[in-house]
Amino acid sequence: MARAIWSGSISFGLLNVPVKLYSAVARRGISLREIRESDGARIRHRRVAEGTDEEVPYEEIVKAFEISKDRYVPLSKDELASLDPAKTRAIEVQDFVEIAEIDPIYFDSPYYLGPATGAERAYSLLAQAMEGSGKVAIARFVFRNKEHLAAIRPGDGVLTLTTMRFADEVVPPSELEDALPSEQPKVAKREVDMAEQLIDSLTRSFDPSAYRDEHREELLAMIERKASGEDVVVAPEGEEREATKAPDLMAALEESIAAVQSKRSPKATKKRTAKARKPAAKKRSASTAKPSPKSRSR
Amino acid sequence: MPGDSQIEVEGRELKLTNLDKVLYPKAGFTKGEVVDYYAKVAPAIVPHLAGRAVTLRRFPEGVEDMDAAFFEKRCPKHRPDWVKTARVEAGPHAGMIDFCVCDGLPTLVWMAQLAAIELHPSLSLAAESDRPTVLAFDLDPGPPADVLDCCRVGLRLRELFDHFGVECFPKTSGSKGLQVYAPLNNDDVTYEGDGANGQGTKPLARAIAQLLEKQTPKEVVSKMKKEERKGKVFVDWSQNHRRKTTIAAYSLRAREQPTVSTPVTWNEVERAVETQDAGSLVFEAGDVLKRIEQHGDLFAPVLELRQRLPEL
Repeated sequence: MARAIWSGSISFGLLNVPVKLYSAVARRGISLREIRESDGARIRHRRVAEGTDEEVPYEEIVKAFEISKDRYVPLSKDELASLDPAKTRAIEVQDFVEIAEIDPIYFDSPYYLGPATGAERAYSLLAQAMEGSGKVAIARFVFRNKEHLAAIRPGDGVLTLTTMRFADEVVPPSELEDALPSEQPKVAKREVDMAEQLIDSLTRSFDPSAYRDEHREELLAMIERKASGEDVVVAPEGEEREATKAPDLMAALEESIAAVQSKRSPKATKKRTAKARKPAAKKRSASTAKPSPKSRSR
Repeated sequence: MPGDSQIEVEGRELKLTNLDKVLYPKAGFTKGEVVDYYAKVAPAIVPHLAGRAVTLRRFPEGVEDMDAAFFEKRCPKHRPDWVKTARVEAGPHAGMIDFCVCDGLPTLVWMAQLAAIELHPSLSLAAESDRPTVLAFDLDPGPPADVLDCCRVGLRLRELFDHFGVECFPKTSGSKGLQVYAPLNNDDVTYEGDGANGQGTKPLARAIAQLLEKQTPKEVVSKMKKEERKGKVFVDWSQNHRRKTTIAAYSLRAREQPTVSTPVTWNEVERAVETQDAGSLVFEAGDVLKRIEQHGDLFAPVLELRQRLPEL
């Protein structure tokens, strides 16, 4: 029988549904050990006091915040525990929203919610009502000493709970402005059309089983081959393609200004500020005098 | 209650409350004075707000209580029914939001009554939220750089636009910096540029900021990172975005004194640099009303002048 990792109850309004939480993900990572290459001895990590060889027992280790170099504020386990959120057993529903409104970037880890013993009817009622409304519940609950935000979704009579990131945990693209495009480079319509055609030709309905963790499978196969004494040949990497150069608007701007400047006489370049202002000013007075062709009030 | 009054503004009923409340403690400037300033500056500011989604920055407990202050995009539900709103996309997660639209004196006074000291309109009209009517630069000095350094960069921006026959207009941010607006009022412009043909304000603004930085890397920075801005002028190009807002011309700022984002002339900018007089570019509510009486709205061309972005 599956083992619940948490139990509590979903509560909103007068409704209270006792539930148990089960992990919905089986981690299939392959765990690798560290050994000494020459003789295969297992590597062990020891905690030692810096500058000594003395091992420090777990009971003597406390956490500390380094306020400046070599100056620490120690925080005992009790002190840290006093800050833990109050252990409540409630999954408090805050709102119901449309699932399409939630950017997937907010989703963290998925769990199943099962009914606690005796709560099967209430559970089923909630699952059916939510399925009927097509909505997702946004809830808060305390799990592993941390306050979590979560989305509860119904599907085929089963409720799933996905923990969510809080808004301030998600990095807005603007913070990565030197890495993410914040302007759309000019591209030819023809090229966009071609790319869209390609997308169309690869479009099908989503089948999660069609995608597999190939790295894991290859790693397992490599382990098996090596285990049976077979040599492993690493295939050479494909030729690196030259990256297409992004259009550089700043360079274009610079060139364009240089072109304007070279058209002017060398003398004028120095007094450019005073001279160049005039035509612009003239244009403006013209536009104020005759508002219709050049300006419009909105 | 003392400090409350029921008034009628252009036929609209409004209740004003807590008019005695001091919103600028260092200056002793009250909510009543804020309402009074906005009522008087209305003829100049309303054209710059009309038709645009406005984000309110409200200071119910005054400018020093930042915990109580907040930005309000969604037009308050308890608004009078005559306050106009516009439904505009506020962000990938916020979705569509009904923003307040200020099209006249009554709405402006109502906003002031909400202690909406700062008014931050969109650079586009709500009806065409993808089309900026202006290209804007926010020149923000990283101390010890100051507004005079911003002025020097502003003058270079003017010169750069001059090359392309584009006129631009300066205003103080009312805080520490200077802002330069190049009016467009032109249907062919979008923020991002639409691929093959269209021109975008953001890519151009960014390229200009990068060029200024390249020419004088010790004086100008085009990246937002705080640590790189020390002693330099940050040329903020990123406000050229359909979801961004910029402080309105003639809006009060929440500073120690009731300073205003004030349109100035290029001559004033040049003179401030020549005389090293940063103070000549600081204007408070009363100064601004006098200036408008003398010069009219120096920013009027920003709404009228129709210009094209340079073709590169």
